[in-house]
Amino acid sequence: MKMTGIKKFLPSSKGLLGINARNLSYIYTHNKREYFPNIDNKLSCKELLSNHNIPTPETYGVVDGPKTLPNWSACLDNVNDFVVKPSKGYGGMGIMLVTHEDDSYSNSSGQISADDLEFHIMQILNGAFSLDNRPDVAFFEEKLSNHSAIDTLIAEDVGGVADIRIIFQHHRPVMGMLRLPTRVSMGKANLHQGGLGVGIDIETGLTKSGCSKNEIISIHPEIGNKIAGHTIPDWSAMIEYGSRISNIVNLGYIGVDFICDANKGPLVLEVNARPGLNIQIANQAGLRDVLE
Amino acid sequence: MSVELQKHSRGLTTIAPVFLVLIAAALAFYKIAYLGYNLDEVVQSESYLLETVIDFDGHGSGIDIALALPEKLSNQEVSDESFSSADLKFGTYRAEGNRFGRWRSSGLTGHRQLTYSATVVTRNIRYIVDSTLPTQQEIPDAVGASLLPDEFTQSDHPEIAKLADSLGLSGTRPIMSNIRTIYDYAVNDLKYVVYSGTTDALTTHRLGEASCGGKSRLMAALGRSIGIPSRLVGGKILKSGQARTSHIWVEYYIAGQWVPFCPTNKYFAEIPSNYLILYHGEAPLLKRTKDINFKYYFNLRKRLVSRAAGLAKLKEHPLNILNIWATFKRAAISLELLRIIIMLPIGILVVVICRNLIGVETFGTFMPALIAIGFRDTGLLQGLLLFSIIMVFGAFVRIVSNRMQLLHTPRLAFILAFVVMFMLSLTALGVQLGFLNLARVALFPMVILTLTVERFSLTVEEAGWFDAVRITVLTMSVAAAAYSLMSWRFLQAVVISFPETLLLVVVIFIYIGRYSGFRLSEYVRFRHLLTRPTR
Repeated sequence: MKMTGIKKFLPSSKGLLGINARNLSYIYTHNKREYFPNIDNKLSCKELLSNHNIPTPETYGVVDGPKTLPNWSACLDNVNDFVVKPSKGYGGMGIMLVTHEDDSYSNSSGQISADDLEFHIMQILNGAFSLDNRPDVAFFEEKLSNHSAIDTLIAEDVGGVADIRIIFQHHRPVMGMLRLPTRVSMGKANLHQGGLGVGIDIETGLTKSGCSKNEIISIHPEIGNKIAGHTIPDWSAMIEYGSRISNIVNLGYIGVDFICDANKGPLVLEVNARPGLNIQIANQAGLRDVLE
Repeated sequence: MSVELQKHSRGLTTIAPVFLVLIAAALAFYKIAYLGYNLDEVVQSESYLLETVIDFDGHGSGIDIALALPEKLSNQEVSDESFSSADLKFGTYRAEGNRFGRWRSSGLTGHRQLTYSATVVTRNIRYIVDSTLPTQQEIPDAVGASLLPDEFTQSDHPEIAKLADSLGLSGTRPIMSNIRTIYDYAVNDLKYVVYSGTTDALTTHRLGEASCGGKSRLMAALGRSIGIPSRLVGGKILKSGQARTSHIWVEYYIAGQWVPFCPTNKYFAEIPSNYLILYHGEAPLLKRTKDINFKYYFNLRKRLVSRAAGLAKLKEHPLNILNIWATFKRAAISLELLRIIIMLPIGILVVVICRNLIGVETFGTFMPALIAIGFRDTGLLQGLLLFSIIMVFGAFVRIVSNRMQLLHTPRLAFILAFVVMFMLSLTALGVQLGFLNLARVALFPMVILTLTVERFSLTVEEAGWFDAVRITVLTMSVAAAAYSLMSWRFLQAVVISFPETLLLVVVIFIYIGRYSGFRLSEYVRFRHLLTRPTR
């Protein structure tokens, strides 16, 4: 385009994808705005995927307004651990992991009262965690646990669940990354907060290199293990599920987040229409080189 | 489908910039060639924002304050005048050829601050006078009064007559010879000392020393004693900063015009470009009620500005419907507002460059540009300082509101209310302490501040204090950069005269919008991958 003239004078990007190019060449061209609601609303996205026989975490119940708010705990009678989520949340905001024993609740910061929890749900309904603060819906989801093969890559005293992000261009998987919670990230599998990113070979499902924030690592800083060479369980199943999602949600460039549950196997947690770029550091490879 | 879309947008992004540049060029050409636009005329290189600030305390009795105001003269132009009058009645009037602003009240108590502000443009004028002109000349009735002695210029006093004799002044010499003698005497033989209060001509002569007023009065007295109409001129020497001092020089009536002489700073038949005339004659700069703990000062800020006269002339052109300046004038909307509106896209341009080309993280998309507007009234450094203070206060209120577990919208409203009250307190404090810039904090965009506080607090929760402070510093830096460009008077003058400049800004937006290369920050982010050898 016009800018090729200027780009000539800039250092080579070596096949790496920047934000500007990602937005211009992939998101705007592959993902039409009208289909964003298919994934922005996590509840309806889960339903859509379930209808196509793609497994997702179980939903215990939904609080969709002030009427259902007083009875929020009804669906949790036989449940010990659960996750509270805003349906239209972004960036992991408003998600709370809760342990329920007898009549008391606790989350990562300690004991909380039923009123605290109800307030949190009310905040979700009021849109405190949704884009543009639009009114939202809260739902309860089962708490998942790590597959034993993945658990070996997480320090023992770290709670939290690892997830696997695979970027698909239409049906084609282009890059994958395992995201591990750490002590630094306080149990969150979020790279910005200090989680580890581990690149995965698309063909074999074997881990490659890794990254912590923007630094490349080859040894797990909290365990001391080598990061490369581990097999991601159920890799081919995840690729199979993921390759169908693009068609289902009508979006051509997506990041699919899986959780490899100890009991249930791979489940789709959510679909992202603007997948981040740090996956390139984890894989030590550029997306431009693998995208069409 | 998507390929088609891309092709379509590609065509448009190629054609649109060319089209927009052509429109801009055509409009500018039309204005220059047919409407007589001339950049030199609308862009004045040097001007000052003059601000006269008056403080006093009312004690229940009547208040009457008059201030001499500058007006358009051959050496000076005055525009964008504004007055703040607290709860006093305000009006302007003319007396003895001078213009005054007058504040009155039948009775009030407590502290008040009054301000007069205007943009003034002054220029240097040198007068060339035929050296053979006689001292005796025809004097119109209107000028006659300037030959008569008065309380401070005792031109009829024997000692003045004696001095005139000893200097060799005489009605038979050419007028410029007499004036040169008087001027040389005032410059060389009268010592300059700083006096406060009024020194009359006779006292100056007896002491052999005086400040500008005394020297000028003695020059006037000597002039009148030999029949040259003479009058004092009171004004201000333009120099950035705060000061109380004003200046006095003298004018002689020569061959139908008043010619200025300044014995203090040595200008002979010349008014320098930094002299602003406020009044002629013995008119006081300020007339006021006694015993009101009265204080005043001038505040001067140098800046570039479009010349009102240049723009006004263009306004008269019947074909000029494109003159945005005239449109605003007609709608009685303040020119300051026009400056904000018309410069906003320029500020946004800075934000777009910072975000999309450099990759600077900021709170909100356009927030930095909106914050920059707030700096307009406080100045950059004080604006940044005040902004930080309010941010810290707001974050504190946010923590308190968090403890109370308020819902999102009421919580924002809660913070906003406290931010407003805090800013009003700062304004009150500023007025009380006489820091006008602090008082101007009331003009900060409060909603923007509140939203920034909310973003700041959310970032503290999500990413920790380090990131929150880091993004705050980045937001402020972008705001400072936007402010610098938006407040650049030369650019303002260009954009106000040629609003089509904004079409060129749009062209830049299109190019940045289609730039798919790395942001500068990404070279840092991916540095480890970029430095490794290519496989």
